Amino acid sequence: MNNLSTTYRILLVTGLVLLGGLLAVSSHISDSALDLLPGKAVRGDLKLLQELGLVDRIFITLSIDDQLDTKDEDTFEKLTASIEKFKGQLSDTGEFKTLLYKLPHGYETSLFTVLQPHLPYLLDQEDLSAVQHLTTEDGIRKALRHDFSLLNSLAGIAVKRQVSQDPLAMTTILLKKLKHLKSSFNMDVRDGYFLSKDGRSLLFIAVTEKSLTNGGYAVRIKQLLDRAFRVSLPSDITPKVIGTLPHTLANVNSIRHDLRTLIPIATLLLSALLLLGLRSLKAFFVLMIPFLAAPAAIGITSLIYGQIGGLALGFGIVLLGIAVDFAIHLYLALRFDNGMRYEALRKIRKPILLAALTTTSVFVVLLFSQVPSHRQMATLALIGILMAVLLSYLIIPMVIPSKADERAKSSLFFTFNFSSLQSYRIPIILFWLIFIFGGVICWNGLRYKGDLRALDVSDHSIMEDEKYFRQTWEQQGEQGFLISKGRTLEEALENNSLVYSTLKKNSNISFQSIGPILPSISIQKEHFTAWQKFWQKERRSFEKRFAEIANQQGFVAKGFAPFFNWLDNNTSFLTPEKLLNSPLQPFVNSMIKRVDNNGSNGQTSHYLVLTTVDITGGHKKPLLQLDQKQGITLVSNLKWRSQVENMLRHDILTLSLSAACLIILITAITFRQISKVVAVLAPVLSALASMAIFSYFRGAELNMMHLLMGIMVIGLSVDYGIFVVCSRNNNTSKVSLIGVSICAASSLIGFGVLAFAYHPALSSLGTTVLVGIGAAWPTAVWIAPVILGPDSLPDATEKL
Amino acid sequence: MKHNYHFLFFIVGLLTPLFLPTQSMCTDSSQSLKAFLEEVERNASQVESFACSFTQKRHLSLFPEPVVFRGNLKLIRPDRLRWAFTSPIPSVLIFNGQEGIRCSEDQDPAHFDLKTDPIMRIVAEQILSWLNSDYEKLKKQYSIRLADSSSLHITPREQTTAGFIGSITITFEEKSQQPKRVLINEPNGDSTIIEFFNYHFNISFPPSTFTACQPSE
Repeated sequence: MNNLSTTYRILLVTGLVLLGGLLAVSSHISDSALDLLPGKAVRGDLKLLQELGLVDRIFITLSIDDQLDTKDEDTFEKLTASIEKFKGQLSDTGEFKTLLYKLPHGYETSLFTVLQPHLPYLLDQEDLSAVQHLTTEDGIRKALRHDFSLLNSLAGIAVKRQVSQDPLAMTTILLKKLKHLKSSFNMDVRDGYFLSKDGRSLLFIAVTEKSLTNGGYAVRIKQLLDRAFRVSLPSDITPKVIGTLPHTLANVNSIRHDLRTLIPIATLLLSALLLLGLRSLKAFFVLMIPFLAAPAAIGITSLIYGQIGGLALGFGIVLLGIAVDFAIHLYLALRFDNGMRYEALRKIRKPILLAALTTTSVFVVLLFSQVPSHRQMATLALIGILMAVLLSYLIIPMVIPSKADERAKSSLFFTFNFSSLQSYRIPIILFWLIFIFGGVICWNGLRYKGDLRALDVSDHSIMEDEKYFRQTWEQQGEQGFLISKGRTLEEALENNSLVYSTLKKNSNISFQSIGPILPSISIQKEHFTAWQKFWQKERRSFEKRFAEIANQQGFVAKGFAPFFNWLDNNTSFLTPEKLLNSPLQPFVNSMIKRVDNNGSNGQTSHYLVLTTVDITGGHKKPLLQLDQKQGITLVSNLKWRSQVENMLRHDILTLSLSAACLIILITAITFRQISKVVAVLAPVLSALASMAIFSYFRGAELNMMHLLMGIMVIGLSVDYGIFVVCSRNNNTSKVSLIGVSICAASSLIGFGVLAFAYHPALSSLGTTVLVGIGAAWPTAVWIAPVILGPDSLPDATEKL
Repeated sequence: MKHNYHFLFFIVGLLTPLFLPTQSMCTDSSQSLKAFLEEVERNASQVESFACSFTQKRHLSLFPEPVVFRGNLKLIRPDRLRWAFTSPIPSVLIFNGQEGIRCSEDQDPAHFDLKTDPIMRIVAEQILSWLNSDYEKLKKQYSIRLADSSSLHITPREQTTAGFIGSITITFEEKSQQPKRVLINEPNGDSTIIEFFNYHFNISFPPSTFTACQPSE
């Protein structure tokens, strides 16, 4: 290598690294959790939840110390004073769309006042049968007798107007249906505040202006909440926060913590391994390769996708660790070139290019994953590996002197004795086949787990707070959401009415809906037509009957003039605006949302109406049937689980098969001998079998991370086979086996460290890959040479 | 403008003497009210329980003539009350702490929780405040003035309550300082008069008084 070429190389490396660095610095890192979800449908569902503000809801329970033996009244006053102060603090921040902690004044009597005038539009055909019963002689008599007692009771003064407007208590027919307005929380409403049954906690619900799935924003909201808690709550009142916020914070913190601690530890251990394994300070140039390749990979990936997800970045960098393998093999080949540098470069070119080809092939396959984060990781790894191969060829030859290092022969850390292996060929192959068979058996026992919570950080304090919330507010079961969508509010309400009527028919489904008090206008018209038809027929005879019975029961019939005036004068439809101007406003606001979008066609908007459903019972069918209807979406783990499981099954089968086919094809074309192809693939098979066996004994469940692991392990372990088989032709088996061993040890260190990650997804990835590589390494070193036959084994004549 | 200011001062000057006696009268009145309420509260504090009979006369536009209900009430301070109508339609309403029961001849006992039944909670708070003579609490919701030496005239401060109560006049028994007559005037001209009599103080009741609901009793 002359000076000129060294200068060119240095300039080229510097240029590439600087350019990569510039791109990486300008790249945008996103924290959106949606990138982790597979398929457009699931992400679309979550987007709907975001639009409804459900993802951005924070539930805060303010509880007074259990040890304090205060009177109910004092406890309540202390809690309400604190919650008012807390609300004041949050209002001033301007970061919250809604702060709900109290129902407006007059909520107790508002239902009758708001709903009664609109009864003709709200009562359906079934309700009219009940009205018909009330207008019979018996019905009138019973109702008026009850009214007489009521008017003379202690509550008489308060209900007088109500009795004169609705003597038959027709409003109660509607009020009975209002059980569907009740939330799944069990609480008392005292002076408008949401009080727990034990009287020691108040509930506060806040909705943020921006998305809480964004890590940076979640941190800001946490700071605002902490400040508000400090300022407004006395020491004996404890706040507990649940919702998206603590999960986002836990995930962000754990990933940051893991990356901050694990990458330095892995780098340190890897340096130690290379120093010990290669016995030279030049090993640092090998270690540098992935770090030099990473900025360009990050920058280009961010350029392609517009941004790069935090998790994709973390995992992608780990995947880039694979890139060190090429540098190790090149380093070893050149260091032990026996003075024939050109020959050594020629010999190592084929396995390096082949390994790079197989590895990049599996990552190309991963580009077809339905998980956006997987696609980003694949792109990052793909660019990084190609960059690493290029940088290895540019840097390693510069740092290794062209003359073979004689001292290196004695300094090799590893020694192998293969001569005895061949005599145990049959038992070794048999043992290996049994192992692979075990893997196949276990593979069939694995289940696909679509529960997205498997990817979440299972923080103990979050689980404790959620348990406390469920206990305090006696929330049972698991919630799902049926979202009715429409370009107009009328269309959305139309869909919501369909949801309500379907759920009403299934008495075992518990749900919360605005359906009973807000049908669509077209349905209100239908109700009104039926009401008019009924009264046209009944009106005259009813009035006569009513007057007679009223007199008998001690009433002046004309005292009920407000009731008859109401029957004769048509009121108007009940519109959302009317409800929004009533004390029911917080409830309506939480159930109906107008969403404005700024698209290429200018500003458009659509409406969403929410129904919450308890999905714990065995009533999946009607919910899934509703989900099939146009404009209605079921958003629940129940549906996602099956969707994600289907997508996972599809991805694991198609992508793994595609990767396997590609690798088999490449190896078959390259080696053209069954024994060589099997030897190349042996580490892959061992790795997959060991991962299947490990997963089987760990609970037999596969989640989305396993797809990534499978692909990655295929990509890594096939390289071991390639280097071992190629070395046979080049009489460089010992160097290759050493190279494979150092590469495998470096991967084991990388993923072994990852196994200790706090984040479950990272830890799961690390553990399972550790097991896979742990099996691929010995297979490459001891089984692949045995499969190749006696000629393949390094013998005493092989020169290093 | 200057001229106008002078005019204003002149008017204020003219009116000032008129204000002074009124202010003095108000002070006297509030002192008398305070003394009166203290006396009522002091007497009430000596009574832990009582029973009495009552007659309720409702003048409602819905009724052709006043409707008279008779009954009795039993109270253990601060929060146990049995309010029973004995004629013409027997019915019972019980408040026992945070729990309540109501029943009538044609209605089985219905239990309710004052925490979750806002209407009954308001009724219980109001009636118990009156019967417990808790005027400090009532002053927050009503303006109270002395109507004469043995009567209080009360008007609601809150608009919601004012929607169905115009004013309340309570006349007290001279000796026991317990309510003798309560007149409730409603905004539309309807009214209710409840007269309490036959008081028995500091007596004990069987435990079932506040747990068993039998209207025919």
